Amino acid sequence: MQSIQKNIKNNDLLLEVNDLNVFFNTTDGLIKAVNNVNLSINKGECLGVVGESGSGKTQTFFSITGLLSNNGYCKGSAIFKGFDLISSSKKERMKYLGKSIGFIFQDPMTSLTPHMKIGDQLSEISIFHDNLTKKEALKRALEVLDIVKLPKLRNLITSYPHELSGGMKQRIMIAISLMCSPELIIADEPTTALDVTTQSEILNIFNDLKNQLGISIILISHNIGVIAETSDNIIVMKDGSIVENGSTYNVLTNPQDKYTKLLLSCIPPWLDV
Amino acid sequence: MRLLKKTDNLEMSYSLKGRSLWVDARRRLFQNKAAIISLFILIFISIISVFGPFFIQYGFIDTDWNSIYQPPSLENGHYLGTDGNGRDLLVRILHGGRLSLSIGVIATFVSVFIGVIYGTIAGFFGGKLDTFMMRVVEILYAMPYLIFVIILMVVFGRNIYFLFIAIGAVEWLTMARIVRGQTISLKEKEFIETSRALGQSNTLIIIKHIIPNLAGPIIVYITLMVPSVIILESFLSFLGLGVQEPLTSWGVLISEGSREMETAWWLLIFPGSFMVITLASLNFIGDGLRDAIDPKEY
Repeated sequence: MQSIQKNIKNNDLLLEVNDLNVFFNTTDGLIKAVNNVNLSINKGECLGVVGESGSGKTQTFFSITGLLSNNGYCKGSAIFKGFDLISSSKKERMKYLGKSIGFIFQDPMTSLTPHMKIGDQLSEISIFHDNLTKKEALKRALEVLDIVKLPKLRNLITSYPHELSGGMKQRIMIAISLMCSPELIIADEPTTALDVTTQSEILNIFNDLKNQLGISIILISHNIGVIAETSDNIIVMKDGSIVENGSTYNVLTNPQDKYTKLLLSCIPPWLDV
Repeated sequence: MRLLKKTDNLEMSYSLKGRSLWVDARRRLFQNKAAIISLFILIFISIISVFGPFFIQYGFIDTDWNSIYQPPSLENGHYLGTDGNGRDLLVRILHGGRLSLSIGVIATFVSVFIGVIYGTIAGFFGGKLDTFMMRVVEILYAMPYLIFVIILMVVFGRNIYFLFIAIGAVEWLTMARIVRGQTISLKEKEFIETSRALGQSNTLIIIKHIIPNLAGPIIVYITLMVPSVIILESFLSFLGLGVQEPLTSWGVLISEGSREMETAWWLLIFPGSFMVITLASLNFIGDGLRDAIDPKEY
């Protein structure tokens, strides 16, 4: 908690979430999925969020970006550069989503619209947010493909999602979120659906984004190894609450909470973190 | 498939041209002989319906007093015979074809237009709006459509344009249901969620991501709807509610021919066979398209 208090005074503060609660109306009554979550992230920083399935890590960030399903609602505040994403109207929030905040989903296989060419999917977002022409947007798309280390080929722009491999699709997803030069990228388990070698390539891209472009990244994962490789700070969630937070090094080497210890004891001992 | 040679640089492997789902579908369609033959027959019938009457010496309302109830003959140019008023049957069939086909196409597009918009809105927004909109559809379903059309025709007069609208207004219900169902399953897909996370407006998501993905079922349904609309028009004309004299459609011709089939068989056989061939072709094309666009149905 103290580290968060310190960050508030910091001018580099990018996103600050205060007392966030997420509820779901179900047939069994009201369910609280996220319980009083506080977190903050600075510019150019990577925040890792770990937790088991159903710990509320995804719903926390869905609620910030207004992606909760119809029976869900949230309370609290999420201040992004002085703008509250939660209390604002959908129209105002849409100016930030995709433009300043990029979102990357778990499964690249299904996240791309199957009938649209890659170039159209990339340029669509710039045409929508930045009012670029199609030509300018495609030029921007080629630049972005370079950042995610895909070949700058016209043929890639004119191919369809089903012609690409999983790793390529995930890079396209990252490229789409980079189209409008965002300041924050929220990646919801971006490597879960990929094999290990592709995982490390994707994580290298994230490291580059952070170090070279100064983009803040929120990395949601249940894989501590993934988080350890990229994050500066770490948050451990269980049953909708944060059980531990702090710098990655401190949390992984000297865990205070019982659950974090259990989580770390699940990693095979030869994996040196 | 050929192996890469040493001289090929690696970029070659990317230079394969992207093949869209539509290119695949077209290839599968062209392998279906029945569908392709039907397509040519349909194109042929449409072309002769549109341009044929210009090349026939008789107009579709001209009466030839020398040949009343004349059987088909090659001598005086009435190749398919004449009716009781001495009007050439071939030119009347072609004129009727213009009307029947255009009713089929226009009424289908009216109903697809209404159905797709209604269905996507109901399916996409869901909740109470969806419940309300689908109850409206069910109420309209429960109404006997014939009475609905008759009331429309009586209130607005027997105008041919109202016939288009009346048929379109009846046929959109099924389209709306199909589209709604597809939209509900589509909107839960990740790529819709992605567009939402990237801040796109609902309208854009519907237009750019949902409707193009519905194209397959919609196209198939269109090809199956055109014949049902043609039949509906024929049925209404048969009852005397549709196209009025001197205009004609296949339904009107069949209805007139059936009254005189004992004395003048050609008045029923020829319009009937034009209609049967057209409907059969449309159905074959529809089947072919369904197999081509949705190959897992095989």
